Amino acid sequence: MLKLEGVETWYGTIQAIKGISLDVRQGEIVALLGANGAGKSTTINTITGLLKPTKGRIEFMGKDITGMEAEDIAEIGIACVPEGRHIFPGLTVMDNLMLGTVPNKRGSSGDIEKDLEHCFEIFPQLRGFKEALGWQLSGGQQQMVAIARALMSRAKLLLMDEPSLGLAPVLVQEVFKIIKEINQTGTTILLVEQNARMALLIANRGFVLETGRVMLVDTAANLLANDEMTAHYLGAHAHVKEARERRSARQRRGENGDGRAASSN
Amino acid sequence: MNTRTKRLVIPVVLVVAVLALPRLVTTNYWMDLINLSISFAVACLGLNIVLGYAGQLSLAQAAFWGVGAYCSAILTTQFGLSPWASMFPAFFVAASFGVLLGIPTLKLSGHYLAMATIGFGIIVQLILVNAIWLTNGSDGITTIPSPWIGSLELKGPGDFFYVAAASLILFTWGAITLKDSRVGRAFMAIRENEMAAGTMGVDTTYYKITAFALSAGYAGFGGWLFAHSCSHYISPDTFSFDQSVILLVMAVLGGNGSAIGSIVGATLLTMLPEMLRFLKDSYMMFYAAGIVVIMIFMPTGIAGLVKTMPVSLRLRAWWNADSTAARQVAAADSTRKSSDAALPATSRVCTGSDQVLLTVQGLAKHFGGLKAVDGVDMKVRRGEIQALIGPNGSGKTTILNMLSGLYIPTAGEITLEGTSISGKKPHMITAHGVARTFQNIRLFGELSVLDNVLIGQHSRSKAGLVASLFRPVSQRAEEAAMRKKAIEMLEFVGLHGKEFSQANSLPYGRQRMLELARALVSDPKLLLLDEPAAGLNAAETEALVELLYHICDRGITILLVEHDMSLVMNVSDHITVLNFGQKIAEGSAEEVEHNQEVIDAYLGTEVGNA
Amino acid sequence: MDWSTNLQMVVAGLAMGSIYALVALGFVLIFNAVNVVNFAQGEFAMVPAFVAVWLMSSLNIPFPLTCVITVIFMGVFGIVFQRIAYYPLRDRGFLPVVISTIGVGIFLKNGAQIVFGAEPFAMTRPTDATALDILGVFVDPQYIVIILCTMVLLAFQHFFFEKTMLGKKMRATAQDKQMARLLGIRVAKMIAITFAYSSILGAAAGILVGPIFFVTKDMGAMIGLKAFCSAILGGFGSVPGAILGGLFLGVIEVFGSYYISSAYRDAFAFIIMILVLLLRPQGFFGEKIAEKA
Repeated sequence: MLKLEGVETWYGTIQAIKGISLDVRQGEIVALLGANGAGKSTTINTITGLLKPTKGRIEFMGKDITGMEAEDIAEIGIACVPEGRHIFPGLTVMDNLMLGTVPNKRGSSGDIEKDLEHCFEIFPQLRGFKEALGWQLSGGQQQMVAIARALMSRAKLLLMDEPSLGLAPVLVQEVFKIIKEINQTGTTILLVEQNARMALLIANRGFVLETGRVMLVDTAANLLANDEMTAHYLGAHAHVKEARERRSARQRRGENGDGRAASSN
Repeated sequence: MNTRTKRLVIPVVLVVAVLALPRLVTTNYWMDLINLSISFAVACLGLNIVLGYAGQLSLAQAAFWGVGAYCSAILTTQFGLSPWASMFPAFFVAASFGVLLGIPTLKLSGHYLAMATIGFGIIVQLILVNAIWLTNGSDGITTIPSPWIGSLELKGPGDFFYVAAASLILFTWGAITLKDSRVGRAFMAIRENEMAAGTMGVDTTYYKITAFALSAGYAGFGGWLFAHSCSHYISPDTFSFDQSVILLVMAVLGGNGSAIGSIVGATLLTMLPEMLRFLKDSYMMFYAAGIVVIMIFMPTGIAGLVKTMPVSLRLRAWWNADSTAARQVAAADSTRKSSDAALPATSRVCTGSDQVLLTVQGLAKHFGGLKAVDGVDMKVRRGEIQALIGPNGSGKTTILNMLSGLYIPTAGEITLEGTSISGKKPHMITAHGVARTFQNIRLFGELSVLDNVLIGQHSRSKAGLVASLFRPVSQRAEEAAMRKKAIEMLEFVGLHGKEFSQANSLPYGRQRMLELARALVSDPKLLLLDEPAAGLNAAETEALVELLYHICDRGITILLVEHDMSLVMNVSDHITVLNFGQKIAEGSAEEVEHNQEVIDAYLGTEVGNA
Repeated sequence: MDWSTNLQMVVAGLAMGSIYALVALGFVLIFNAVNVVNFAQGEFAMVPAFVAVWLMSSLNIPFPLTCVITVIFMGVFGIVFQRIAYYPLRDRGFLPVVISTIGVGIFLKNGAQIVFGAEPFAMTRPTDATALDILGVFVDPQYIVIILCTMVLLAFQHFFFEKTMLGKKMRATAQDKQMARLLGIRVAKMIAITFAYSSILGAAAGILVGPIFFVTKDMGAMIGLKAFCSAILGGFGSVPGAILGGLFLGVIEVFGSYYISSAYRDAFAFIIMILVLLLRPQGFFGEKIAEKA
């Protein structure tokens, strides 16, 4: 459904992603993982059109969407639940939900009614605060509204950027359960997460990024069992261990040797 | 042409021009216009200082111009003071009004500052209109006397021109000299990046007020020129918000930040409307349309345009070829070539000591309900490299900000070598020996590489306003010493040869190095680095690691926040791990790597049964 | 202190305050949408006043039709203004835009003088000129017209922004442009409409205030500046703040002018603004009701 080939994107003066290729098949949940600064959010922003790639190709359902504007990408069926939720603070929950229907040009008002009902089924608590203003909601409530808003657009592909950020563990569990449910009704999901384990528990496949490149690709089960994951997150690669050993050796020599400090002056 | 002859060119040209002009201009009308232009030009030079150099948008310049004019007019007509004597009150009273405006508006910026200055200007004008006992109200003050030289009354515009021209030369010289001095650099640092300026040791409060005062003083003197030339009559109408706008347009048209530009802008915009009078009423419309067009197509003004022309580049190169700065750089170049160039590979002997340099106890920062940092205790030992790590949102940068004075802690104590520094202002903390770099590089972009590093030494130098203007031997020695140190530091980080390049023209990796050089040059005891490896490629990261070792060898303690785990694991003597604003682990790289809590924090945990 | 004089002053204050509120709203909507202060906002009230006067005096067009034409004209004007003064400079930082809007303001002021001449115009009143007797107090009927029309306009605006999809899209754009784009909202169009609506608010202000003062090229300047003060008073960026700030300022001006000093009438707005900026920069409705449009 979604394919990225050799995509490179710059963020200001930094090259945040340096040639990423990934794919998401219809009906899947794909997890995009990696430590902070690895380029996950930049990848999402490139897919949604907020950032434009300098190289590479993005294809959605067979159509080339590289370089398209964000508003147009929203209309062809890609919805996004961004990092930090971005609920409009001065608008009510209902307003936020209704704005979710904007990209869905062909929906009738009957369809919208149905979609709203569907959202309330998935998030029953929503009924309780549907007239509250965005800024009044807690993190967990905002997350629910953000996901519901994305659903209102009847998007075929849902991008989710760090849904667990800032949420209490109990809510994180809720949210991931719901993500799984949404996927089971037919929505394809690309999920960016720092909490790698939770993400892999519901995903089919995962891509692990490190400093702007894809380092590992595998099924979720394999990744969960893979020890190298820790290495990518904590920088505990073999070459780092070696460098550390070398440094310690030098320090010991420096202390026991002639005591002369090498200075750069 | 040797240096001495070169330096004489400008004074000679000026003297000739000033003597010749009155003979070339035949009518009093045009002479009056020239004097008027000069009066505006001086006010505009002042605006250039506060806006062009220090970046503070002031729309009250005409009010200060008016204060100077009225001050002198009142003193000369009602108290019989000689115009020569009333010059000084005109300058200083206007300058105090500038301080009056500067103090309350310190925390404002952008359009809020603009509005406050507009309001101030309008209030001043209203006072001029209504304080009839002092100012004669709307009738204005007439028969303002001209200055006398001996038995010659400088009444005619041609005679007064010499006074005006001499003042203009003096004030321009002041503005240009200021720009290339410690004070001028402080202004520009504030303009480029106020937050970074503070952490480099610049007392932003003091310098902003000084900028306002100086610019108001300039305007006040311009007002003196206005009152005692031309029609010898002033009334409140002239000193309106509209006039402040015109002064602003003159400054921007000439080129924001360029003293000569201000003069050109002022002259053009005084002369042009007069020459366009044949367009009768519509000339203001063309002028206004012109402003919009200039903003769109020529935002750096005339000076900006001229600067890029090859002719001016060559002239500039010729003029600067043997400036003191250039000579020092060349000297450094030649000594380097003749000695061993490369930095010896360090043995990284410094492993830290047991002496504690920095203590953090119970540090907390709450933003409303959000506990960004929630009771953290840390110790940084002298000579070590310590890393502060943790997942997104764990509070690392907030702690750095508290350590450098950008945030005031909600609770807790920070002690550096026994002295408490919690809650102190950034420039004071820098004076105590803490320097930092920023996550998203806060260089003074439009300034040269050398200037950036010179500003880094602000807290280790002293020249004030007077010294900066009059350049006594002590100031020149200080500048030379600062430059020498700056050049050495640039060499240390690998930026030799780039001294005169503009900071934001450097590639990203080099900009990071420049930021490091700027921080190091203040001789800090503690260096705080915020994600120094962000955006660097593998080779640049290697170079960074070597540099960190060299810095450590110099006895500087390093505390770094970093996401690049390979770097952290490689380089750190001690690691502190944060999560959700609290410390969850600390120790050596080995210990932290195998700490289950740390692994859980980074990889996430399985919550419940999913 | 006789209460009938005070009541007269309250009405006059509320009337002038309504004008300030309308222009202040114009400022705030543009600021919320594109983070730019439009220094020509006062001229947004001056231009339609001239247009209306011309339509009524020279072409003898009846008042209701004049209003319609003027409103449409200003809507188009807003879009053109945005394209010329804002759009080319939108990425350049705030100083170029400030200067550009100042330039357009000057252009409009002098343009008006050229097109309509330097003589002040008297705008014909929509209602009879005789003072109304309300509860024993004599009040200029135009004040009542201003207050009533403003109330109607604000009610319509509230409905538009709260209940219509377009209104919500505009508010969303003002609150979070990136998120709006992600939802498929055409942000550029929303911005154009914001400018157009802001000009229409100016049209209302100009037409309503015209009959009270003479219509001159300078009438916009002070109104614009004081409207800015009102917006700061209420909390710059807050819609209800702009309205309440304007009303409050209008009343303060009238009372201050009567009880303190009429010479310094113009100063009150600025003194209050400076005090607010010093003591409570977020205004009275700043953080809490951070409602944007």
